[in-house]
Amino acid sequence: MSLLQVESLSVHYSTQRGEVHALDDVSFRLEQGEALGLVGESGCGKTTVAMSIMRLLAENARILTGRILFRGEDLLAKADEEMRRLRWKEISMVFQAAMNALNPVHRVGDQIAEAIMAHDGAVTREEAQRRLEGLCAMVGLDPARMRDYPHQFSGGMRQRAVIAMALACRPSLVIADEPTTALDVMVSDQILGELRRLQLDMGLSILYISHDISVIARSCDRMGVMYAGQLVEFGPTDELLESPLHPYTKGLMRSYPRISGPKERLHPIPGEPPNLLRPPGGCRFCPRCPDAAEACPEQRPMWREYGGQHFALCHRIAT
Amino acid sequence: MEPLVTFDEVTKIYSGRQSLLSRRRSKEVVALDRVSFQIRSGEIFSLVGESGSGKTTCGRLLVALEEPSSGRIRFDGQELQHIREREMRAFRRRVQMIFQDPYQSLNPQLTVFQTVVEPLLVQRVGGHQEREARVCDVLEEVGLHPAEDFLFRYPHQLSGGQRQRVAVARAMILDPSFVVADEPVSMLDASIQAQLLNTLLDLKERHSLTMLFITHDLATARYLSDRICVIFRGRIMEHGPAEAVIQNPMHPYTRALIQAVPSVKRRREDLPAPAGPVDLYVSPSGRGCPFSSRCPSCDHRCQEQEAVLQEVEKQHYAACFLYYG
Repeated sequence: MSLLQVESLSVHYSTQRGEVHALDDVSFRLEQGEALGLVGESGCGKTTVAMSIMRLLAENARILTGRILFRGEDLLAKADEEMRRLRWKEISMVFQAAMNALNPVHRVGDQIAEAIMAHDGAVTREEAQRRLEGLCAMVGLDPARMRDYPHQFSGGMRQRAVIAMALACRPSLVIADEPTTALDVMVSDQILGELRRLQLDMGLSILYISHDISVIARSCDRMGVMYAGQLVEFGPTDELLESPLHPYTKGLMRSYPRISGPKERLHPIPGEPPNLLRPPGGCRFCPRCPDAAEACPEQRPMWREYGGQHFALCHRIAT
Repeated sequence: MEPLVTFDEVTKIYSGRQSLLSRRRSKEVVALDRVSFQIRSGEIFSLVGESGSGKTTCGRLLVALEEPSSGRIRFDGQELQHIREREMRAFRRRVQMIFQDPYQSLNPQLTVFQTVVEPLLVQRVGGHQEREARVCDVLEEVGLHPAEDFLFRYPHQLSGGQRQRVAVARAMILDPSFVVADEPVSMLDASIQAQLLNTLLDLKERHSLTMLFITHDLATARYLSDRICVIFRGRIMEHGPAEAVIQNPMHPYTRALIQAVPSVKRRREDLPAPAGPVDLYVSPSGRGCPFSSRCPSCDHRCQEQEAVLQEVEKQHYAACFLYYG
């Protein structure tokens, strides 16, 4: 049994201007002890996936279809109270903007200790304190700085504190939504390395979510590529990056300037992602696709495997 | 040939503000420490640094939004500090700036036309018809076509990429000779970033534009620029031709920076040694190198003495004792 199984998840948001088709039939599995990444540009639905799993979707969101099985149990069918017990103890989240995820008027250490005690009723203050020290060692924070307030921390230290908080109750699944996006490259590199080490040492499962392919490439065993609310490609990271199948993935990879190898002109995907109030029929990437053919604007492509656990959603890939 | 821009030993110190509750003054911050470089006419010069390196301060000094604490900045032979009110108008016509965040740099109450035409009005250029034609031309040039479709839209009706194109159009409408672009693509998605980078390259070609490109991203700097200058904690660590700096980095700081850039293609399984956090640098006493506390090649001199920039290979300079003969 997979640790997490997302099955044909479709989510809409109701707005003043109409229904936003944010997620359309997204399915994937995350195995125990695995690091899985979802990559995509803003508005592709990757954060909606995360929030659906956490059951923290905004009020105007509506889940049309789908199940989210965690250890075989459907999270979407759980009562709020049950879900609250699961959250943080079983599934926790590293939020994007670390400055906003910490309370500015409380000491960092107190906030982490509070997370431990709030979700682990039996823990005494002394025990929480001991666990706090363990967490500091784990994420590379100086225990002596636990009496500081968030504004006294650098961006990297704050992000480490947020990671410590997510690990506080020893969850089996951590969702890391843009865990290093606002950080300097050396700090980001180090934190991603530490997360990878924790994941391997503790047998932790992590769902990474990022707009940056290189973050996913660095950290994940398998990855999925999202575009305009759909999962368009999925597979083992090395295989997918080495031989991408979907025209969107190919275009995205051609959009990043390289630090090594010969210097070549970039050939970005023309145009912009579609308005999800009225997504294109058929394939959603079709209006920007260099390989589009007759069937593409008409029919929704089928999700197909192209060998080696490598899947894609496209009419045009030769089998 | 005389360079278009010269920074000569420029220092910028932000003096501590007195806080609301205490009488104590917070410490002075040295944002730039005797920084010297030159930008040649027709080149894109990238200033690469992490947050707090002083790269944005350089840009703000250059467009005369701020004044240096000491040192001199010359633009086209003229010293910025000596430009008077009347000449300032001409200076502003020749030097333009593109900011990072297109959600904040555009006035939400102005249409695209009003935003882009404004510099022409301020500088009293052309009649009504000519101005309109010029706005359309420049919008097309930055990739907003057909221009007519965009003229009467407001920023909230545009995507992030389109907004940044409007900001570029506004900067280009006076046909400036020099543009400062401060992280102009970092807020955009990767595919949109690449589109805009190509637009900037095309503009440079067509108008023989000179540009100071400020970025935290070495790969982008490599793609765009002729020369790269790496700055850390207000000090220049290394500068030289873009390919030389990337392929053959001299300063240990630049090397560490390049090593940390993640690759799209390559997966890395090297797990870092459990060293302390890389963002905790110990400031050297005196004039030492700001990277010395983390430098693998640090020796006894690095903490106390200053390594000045040395020409290590042709046109390629590094500030490190490794290259002191």
